[in-house]
Amino acid sequence: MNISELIKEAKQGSAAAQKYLFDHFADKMIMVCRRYVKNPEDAEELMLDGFYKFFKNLRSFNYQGDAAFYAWLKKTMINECLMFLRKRTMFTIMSETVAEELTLQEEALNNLSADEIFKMIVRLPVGYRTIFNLHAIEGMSHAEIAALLGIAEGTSKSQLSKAKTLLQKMLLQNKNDYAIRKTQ
Amino acid sequence: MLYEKPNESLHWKNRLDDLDHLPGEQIPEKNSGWKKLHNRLQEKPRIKIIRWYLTAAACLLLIVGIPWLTINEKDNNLAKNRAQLKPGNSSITTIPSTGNTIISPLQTQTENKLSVTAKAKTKQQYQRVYKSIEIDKPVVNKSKVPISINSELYNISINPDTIAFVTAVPVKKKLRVVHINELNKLVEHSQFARSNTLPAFRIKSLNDDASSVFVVSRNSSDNIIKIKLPPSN
Repeated sequence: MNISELIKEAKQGSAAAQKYLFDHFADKMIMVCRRYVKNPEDAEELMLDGFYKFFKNLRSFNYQGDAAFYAWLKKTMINECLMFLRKRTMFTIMSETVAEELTLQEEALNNLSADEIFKMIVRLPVGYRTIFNLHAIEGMSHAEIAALLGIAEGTSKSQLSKAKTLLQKMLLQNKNDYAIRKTQ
Repeated sequence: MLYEKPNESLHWKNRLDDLDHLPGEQIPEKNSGWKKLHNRLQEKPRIKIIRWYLTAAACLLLIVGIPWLTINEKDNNLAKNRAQLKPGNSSITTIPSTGNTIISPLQTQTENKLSVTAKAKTKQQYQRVYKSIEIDKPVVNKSKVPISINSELYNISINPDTIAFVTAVPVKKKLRVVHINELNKLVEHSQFARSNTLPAFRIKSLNDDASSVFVVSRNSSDNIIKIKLPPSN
């Protein structure tokens, strides 16, 4: 059964189709939520909220390919996470100070495993982590992030540069640790 | 693979998207999650918000409706009182009076003599309108007695056995300044003219504080006012 048929049946209210879609995408969506909220229990609740809204709004969704469907589902999850974070985090008080001059070597991330990258991102402070997720991973512009979080564009840029600086430090530390382990 | 850029499957972003659990961590159970989700999807739409709106609307209606009803009740009472006094034809000849007329108090004792009072409630004030009658002349005692209020005639049904007590409501009355020579005329027409008691008036002189009493002589035909002066010191 492909995704388009499952979506058709889910639109008609088929619980079996809905369960199949849930079972297929729940694990990945919970990891997406954990990148934003860190706490696994909160991430699970947000994932369920996301799926609830997804199935409620499924009638207005027009299937245009598996990638588009996945992107729409992921966007629903991210919106739930941002709503949760906005309630708990004052994004407006994030500083706009310029970070140190240390650029992130994104090519170095390609050498790391997915779980290592995940752990590094989760270690970032909530402001750095959120903006890094939205800009570096989701591909949103600083203007879009500023509008979404209610912050200035400058704040978004400064937070991203600080996130990249911190990640680079972690990469270097990982490299050193890897080198030390290798010599041992 | 559900990537936007399928050729970049090795890109760290796409690998991150494929991550469904962390190594060393227990994979979370999905059945309990699905049960929660399924129950939420089967729930009826929330009507709490609608209930709040209905409650607020009911409170508003009460706040607006109660004063409105009380005002309407007052208006209805006024209308009822006016309706009681219906204009109608009367076969009895009456003395129409205009405006507010105050008559002499009830003095007759015959059955047929009754004074009738009618209440006329106007918006400005409550006034008792009396039908002006002459003393010792019987009031027409039929089932309906016309009463004039503000130049209109109204019929009021009364029970002949009842005695209506008349009390004079003092309408705001200006004291009339009269000349001393006119005093005798007023006295003749006053209620005391036929009584045995003699009216007594006190006057004060301008020079001293002692008051003088003068008594109207009843028997004299000459309209002379006799003044009895206080004893001089």
